[in-house]
Amino acid sequence: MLEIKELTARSDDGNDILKGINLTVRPGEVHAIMGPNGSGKSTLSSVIAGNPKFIKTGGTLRFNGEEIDELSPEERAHRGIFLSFQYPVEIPGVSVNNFIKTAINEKRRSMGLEDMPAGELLRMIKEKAALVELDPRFLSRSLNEGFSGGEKKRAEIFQMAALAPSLAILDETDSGLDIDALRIVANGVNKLKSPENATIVITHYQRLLDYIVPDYVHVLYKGRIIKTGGRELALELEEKGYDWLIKDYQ
Amino acid sequence: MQNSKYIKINEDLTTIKVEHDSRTTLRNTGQAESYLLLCSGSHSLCLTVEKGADVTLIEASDATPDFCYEIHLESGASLRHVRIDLTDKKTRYTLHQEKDSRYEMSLISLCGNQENLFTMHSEGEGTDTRMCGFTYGQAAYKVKNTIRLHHHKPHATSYQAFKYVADDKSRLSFDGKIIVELNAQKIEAYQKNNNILISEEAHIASDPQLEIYADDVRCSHGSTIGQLDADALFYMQSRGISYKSACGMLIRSFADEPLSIIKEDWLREQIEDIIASMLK
Repeated sequence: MLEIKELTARSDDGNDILKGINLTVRPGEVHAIMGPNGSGKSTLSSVIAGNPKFIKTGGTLRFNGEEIDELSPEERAHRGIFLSFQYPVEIPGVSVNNFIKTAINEKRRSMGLEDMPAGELLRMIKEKAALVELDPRFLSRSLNEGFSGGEKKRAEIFQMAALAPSLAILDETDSGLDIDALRIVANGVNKLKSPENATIVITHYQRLLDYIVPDYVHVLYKGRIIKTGGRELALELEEKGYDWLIKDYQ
Repeated sequence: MQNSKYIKINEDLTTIKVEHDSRTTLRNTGQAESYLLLCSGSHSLCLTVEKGADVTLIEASDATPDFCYEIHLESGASLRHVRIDLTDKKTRYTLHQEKDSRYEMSLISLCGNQENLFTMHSEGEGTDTRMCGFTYGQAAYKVKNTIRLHHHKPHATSYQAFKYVADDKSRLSFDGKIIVELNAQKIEAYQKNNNILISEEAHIASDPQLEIYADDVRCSHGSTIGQLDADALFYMQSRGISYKSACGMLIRSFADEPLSIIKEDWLREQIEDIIASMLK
């Protein structure tokens, strides 16, 4: 599904951040990407989703066999990539309902389909809101405006449920969440899991991986994946920190 | 070509026709009333809103090239004033507010050259004045809003928020001054002018000012100029929303304060459609 080879990228202020990433994600898999601050985790997710703040300088980035470097973020979204933001943006005056309606219909138009009939859309939105235990009253509120940290993340997973991506990237979805919110968000992600879709979970802490169980754990350091293992690697990191790996690497 | 944009009035509204020098009093009927203001030339209007009346005035006509108003709000009167500009206009405008009266304006400018001079006087305690504006400057249009808001009495509040989007070679200017007289203690007065420059050839002049003679007041003013937020655009695009729609949503969001004053869905939705159609 996702095939990344020797990927290098720099930020628009000229810093080389990714220095040769290799990563393959197949349908049905859950990958966790861990690593200390500043190792390039968020940059990797930004580059996959097409954030214009980062410039790919080398390597290949393929999604379902197609080179996606030249595609706009919306074209990548239409092909099934979803990025959940660490800091979702507040948009006063645009309701959650209206936002998701626009997103869904723009995707349908890109596929040559008619807009989703209003009744069907409404039913689907209600059903997905229930899935992440999002209070329906939030749907008519301005997107993310005045939402608590947990509500923002829930709104992100709600959008993910409504857009039904084949590859979901969750960037530090656990940051700032209490244990209840974490459980709800993780449950939402787990319910959306299928043999056809894949998830990349970017996280600092092992904690989230108690709820979303990864098939692979990758440790990113200074722009490279320095170790890949199974779930037990995350537990080992929790216990020993990153230092032993970094020492080995240096 | 001046204008292909227009607002369709599809509600039953009582019409106030302005011919030559009109004088009109809007009575207190004990319930909220809405009026449509129609003016077909260079005329003037002296409008009084009676004690305790609760009135909405909608002005969306495209035939008021040179207009002069004087509005009196009697004590406890409330006026919500919605004005949509789509053609060239020049307006001089004076507001007098008595005790505990409330004035709220949404000034939306989407097309044409406009020059507005607003002189506002809070002449009683407990008045509340809110002025919100949204201007989308296109082509080579010039829009200038000059505001002189005088606080003469204590315990009053005022708030101004003007949002400008400057595209093409438009030239937009904001010249706002709050004057707090010596006697006007315990007032709260805020003013801001936020600007988004879309085109490199557009021009924005922003000059918020405070002139305070009282010593126990809360006042602030500010001005910002920037571009559409790149992070917000990427956020929306990452959800499959096209760059153009994302820009439209951000501009809609930017205009939220003035648009939210317009409670009439039929009117606000037309304005939203016009704004969306203006993006290139």
